[in-house]
Amino acid sequence: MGIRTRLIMASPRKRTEMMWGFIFVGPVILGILIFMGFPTLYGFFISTFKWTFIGKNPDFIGLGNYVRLVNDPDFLQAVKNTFVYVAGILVFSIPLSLLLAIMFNRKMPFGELLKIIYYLPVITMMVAVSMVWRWVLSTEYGILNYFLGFFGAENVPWLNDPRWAMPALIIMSVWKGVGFNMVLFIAGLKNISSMYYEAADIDGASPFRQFISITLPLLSPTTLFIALTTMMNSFQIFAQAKILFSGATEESSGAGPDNAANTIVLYLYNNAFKWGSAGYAAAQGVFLFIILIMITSIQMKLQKRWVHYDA
Amino acid sequence: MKKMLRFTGLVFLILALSTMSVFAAGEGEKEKEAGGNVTFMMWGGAGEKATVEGYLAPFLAQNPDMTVEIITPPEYGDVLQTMVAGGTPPDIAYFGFPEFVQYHKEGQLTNLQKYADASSVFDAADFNPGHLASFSDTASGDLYSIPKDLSTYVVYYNEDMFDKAGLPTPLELYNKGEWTMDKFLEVAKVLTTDDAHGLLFNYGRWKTFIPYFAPDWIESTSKLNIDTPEFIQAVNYINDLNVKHGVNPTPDQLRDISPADRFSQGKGAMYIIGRWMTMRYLQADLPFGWNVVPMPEKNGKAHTWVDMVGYGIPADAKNPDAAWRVIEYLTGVEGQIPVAESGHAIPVRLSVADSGAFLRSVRSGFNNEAHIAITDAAPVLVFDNFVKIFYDTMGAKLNLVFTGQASAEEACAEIQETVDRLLKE
Repeated sequence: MGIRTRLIMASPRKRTEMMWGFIFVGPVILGILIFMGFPTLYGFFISTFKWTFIGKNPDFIGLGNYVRLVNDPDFLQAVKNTFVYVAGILVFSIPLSLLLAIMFNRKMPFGELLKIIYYLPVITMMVAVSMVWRWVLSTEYGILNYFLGFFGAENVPWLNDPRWAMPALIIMSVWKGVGFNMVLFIAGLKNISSMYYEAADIDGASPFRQFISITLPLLSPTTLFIALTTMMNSFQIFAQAKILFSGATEESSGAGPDNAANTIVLYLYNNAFKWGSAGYAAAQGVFLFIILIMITSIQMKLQKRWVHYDA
Repeated sequence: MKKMLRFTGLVFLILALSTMSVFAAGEGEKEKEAGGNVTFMMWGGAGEKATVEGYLAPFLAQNPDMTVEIITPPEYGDVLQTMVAGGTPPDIAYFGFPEFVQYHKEGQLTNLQKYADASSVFDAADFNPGHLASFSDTASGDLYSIPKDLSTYVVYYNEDMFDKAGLPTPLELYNKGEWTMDKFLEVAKVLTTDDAHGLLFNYGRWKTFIPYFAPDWIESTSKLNIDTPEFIQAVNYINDLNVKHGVNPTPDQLRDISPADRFSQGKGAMYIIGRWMTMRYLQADLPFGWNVVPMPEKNGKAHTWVDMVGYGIPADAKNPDAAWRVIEYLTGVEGQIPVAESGHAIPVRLSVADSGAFLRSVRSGFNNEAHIAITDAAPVLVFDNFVKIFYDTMGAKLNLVFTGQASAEEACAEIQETVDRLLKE
């Protein structure tokens, strides 16, 4: 039944309500179409051109930019780095935020204050955070190396060594994002009915068993949501790398030592705005778009096996 | 539902058509603004904006029909590109030399030759021919940008530290013709103590030292010589300043406290940087004597790096005629005198640069000549894929040497390989 038919059939009051519904949703939908839908389609369009962004006469090259993508060692490294980063964030951020959520879900001294402290990085600007972390990660004067020194560790060249650049990026991003996921997990935990735990207690289940058999399965919708949003955000990593690794060289692209912190979006940005390859950058955007769609649909398919929507 | 789909389709169509017109923009007739408002985009903070407003004040008083709106956006380069791509550029913008080449290549700059020919203020003979040539079309020789000012890298030094160590100052050595690279290193070593370094050099500005060792590293716009013994020698020289001689801080130390701050805190005897730092130190009123001297000489000739910036009028500017009047004034003798007097930058007009106005600027005894001694050199040739090669490939790889991750030979060989590929892209 189409909207028109439904409108005709609905009572006048219902009809007015629906009309207002459309009026309220309209601006948002229009905003999404103009600022997200159109640029996405337009990105596909310009990815078929060799275009310098400021050039007046783009050359149509068909799939030329995509051929260049698969033959560009720098891009392939950016893809690899991005996957390593995403994996690092998922592996460390989700368990850590779950752990914190479980901790704060019980009554504990200064619980509320600690929650605020853990949440503070989330509401702090990424640029400011990255600037501070440049100092935290400094080889000779950094506070992180200072603490590691207590355990007898040598100074780690976080920002100068290609082997440490990605761990540095992951550590900072986990610190920045863990509070947000923690709050979501706390909300998820609050939604689990206490009757399950009471029943498990009567049956003599250990706390660990309760966690594995009750908490984790019933928290799975929250975990899915967190995994999806964290993953999508992580694939788009840009500002952290740009700020953390800039300043090392004059006009640095922020790709880190030997491109070790080069990520897809950073490479895209540099191609579009710094190196005059807007068409090529658009092809990278399309590539990222396809990757995200693919991974999201795989996750949505797999969720049937492990997500339980009955709390 | 069908109607909604049709409506959405229509919205897309309109948007697509309007954006596609971006590509076509500028090919059609341009609409000339009758009024005299000129949008002027520049980089820098509030202080620099106020300085330029000061330069323009006499001009605006003489021309009440005109107003100049100065815009200083963050991320200048990105914003300018976006405005140009969108067909709504400012009437005047700053173009660094590499950016000038890029915009001119894309046909995004107005040909200024007809304005220059008709002008009674513009005088080509009063500019360094190399500077004008740099901002001209290589085939027709037409001017597409007028040099705004230039900056050469020089050595700033702390006079008090030299005096305390009983050493002749670099200026004294220079005047005696003894300001060589060996002498430079020798005094840097003597002046390095537990509290201060003999030299402060930001590794990111490696370009400053290259011309001394490998003056011909840019062979043509499509050929660079990087894995040569000369270039490798230059890289090793910079690296040894810390690793072997300990006269320059490590990259990490410089990231922690910048070389500019170290110099002003008296933690460095010499500091290699451009003219813009003079104004900063002047305003900071440093608690010690300081002066400048050209880079060390080889065979009586100083080798340095020249940064140049020009004024350009984007091809789609709404008010190019009025924009020219502003540029004409700022690059004319009248407009350059306040630039010279303030000491803010090296004037591009030869008559002004050589005049007392500039040479007496800053303070009495200040060696302004250091900045103009070597301005005969034109800026470096801009090769293909310049920004990606120069800043990102070379800068990033050389940084591996300066942080002990690679040898100069390895880095230069890798750079050569990458650069050869990028030059063909």
